[in-house]
Amino acid sequence: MVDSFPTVPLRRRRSRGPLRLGLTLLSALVWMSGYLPLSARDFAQQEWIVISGGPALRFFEHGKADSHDKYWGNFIRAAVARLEQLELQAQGKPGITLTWLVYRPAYASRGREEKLDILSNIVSQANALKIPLLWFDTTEQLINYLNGGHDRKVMPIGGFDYFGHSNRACLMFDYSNGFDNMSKECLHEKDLRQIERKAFLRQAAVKSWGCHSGEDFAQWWKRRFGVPMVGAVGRTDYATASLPYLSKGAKWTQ
Amino acid sequence: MDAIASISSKLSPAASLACCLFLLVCVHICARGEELAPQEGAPLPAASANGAPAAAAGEAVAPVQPALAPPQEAPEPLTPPPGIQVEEFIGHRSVDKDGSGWGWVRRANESWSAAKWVVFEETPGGIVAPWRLLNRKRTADNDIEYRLRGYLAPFSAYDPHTDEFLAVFVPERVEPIGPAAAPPEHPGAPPHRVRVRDSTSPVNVEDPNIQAPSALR
Repeated sequence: MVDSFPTVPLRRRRSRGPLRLGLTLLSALVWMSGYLPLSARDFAQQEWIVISGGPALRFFEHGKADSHDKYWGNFIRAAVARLEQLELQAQGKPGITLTWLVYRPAYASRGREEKLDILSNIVSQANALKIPLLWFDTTEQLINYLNGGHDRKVMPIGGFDYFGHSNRACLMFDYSNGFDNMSKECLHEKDLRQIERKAFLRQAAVKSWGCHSGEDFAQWWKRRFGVPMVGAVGRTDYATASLPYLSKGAKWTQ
Repeated sequence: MDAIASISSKLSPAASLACCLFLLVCVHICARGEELAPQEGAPLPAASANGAPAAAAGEAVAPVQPALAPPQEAPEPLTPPPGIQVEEFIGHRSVDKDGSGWGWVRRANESWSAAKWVVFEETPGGIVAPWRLLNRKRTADNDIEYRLRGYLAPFSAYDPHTDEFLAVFVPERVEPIGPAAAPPEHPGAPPHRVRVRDSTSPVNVEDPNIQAPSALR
């Protein structure tokens, strides 16, 4: 009897184990199938942000072996291509707000240098896309917008794309524009703490299309927000009229 | 010569002739070399910086002075932010091969120990770094001292090559003094890879202050 006692529950446990496991899996699947639409409804209230940093001045870059931004519109053209993609993705999801943030001073100064009305050109492109365009003049304004441009409890950031100059530690909105080889307005990895942790959805799609962001900045981003950032290990090239591509030997990482 | 004669006596006539020819060629080359080589101890003529004829032999040759950039003045007086004054400074240009800093700057009444490593704010069409007015090489005015008027900006500039934030000098007037030895306290650019302390400036979440273009308002 004593010996037989444990065998019964053991047998019963063995026989019910798979059943329980199956029920658990089934309930999990049911829960997930119910959860996803709910999440999708939640995600309907979200903002997808595309940021364009500014070009360098030819005054500073002319004659350099590695001369940057011969064309002023690299980061505009690429951002427009990305916005067109996002518009397609957002079709049928009425709650999604697309926003384009552009660092104005760099385009204003480049426009003065080239005697072009670049700002109007950018506004025209935003109007053609029917996407709200917001200028920012300082990093602080950008951070303020990320934190409080919308009520982030209601409309968190679900997408974030950055086009502009960057290195492994920093997104630079005005490289070689106010200062030769340098930047005045930039988002350093150490400044990420100024952005609210909950400004981003956990499932947010975040990507820096600038050079070297995947080498360090993306790790700081993940630590700060718990959201991975796709970034390049190596350089990216804006020579095409569309989204930038990886230079030779570079790769995307997150 | 005895040795040569003894050797030639042991060789065949053809080999002796070849040896003689070889010796003649060697002696000729040595004689030409003595004619072309400068006399030992005589200094080479110094080339002047601007390509002018060198000083005649026997004249005292003054040390070559590097070319100095012309003085510059901003088209309009600066209007610094509240609480900051335009002051007189002394600047020592020091080339940084790794970064983009310009040099050391101290107030005219301070010592070099109080100097700051700065970035020089340039304005296209206005005041630019003096080296641009020379031969467009960054090293053109290394170790030149300048009398400066301007102010230290309340913001910094980020150098992506060294991952550092540097102080910014905003010039109103730039006047070269001349070449000078690097200050003993600052023999060159500061060591790099020193990150600045974290920014503690507060962020105003309530007022995003981003201007929408008028077309979209």
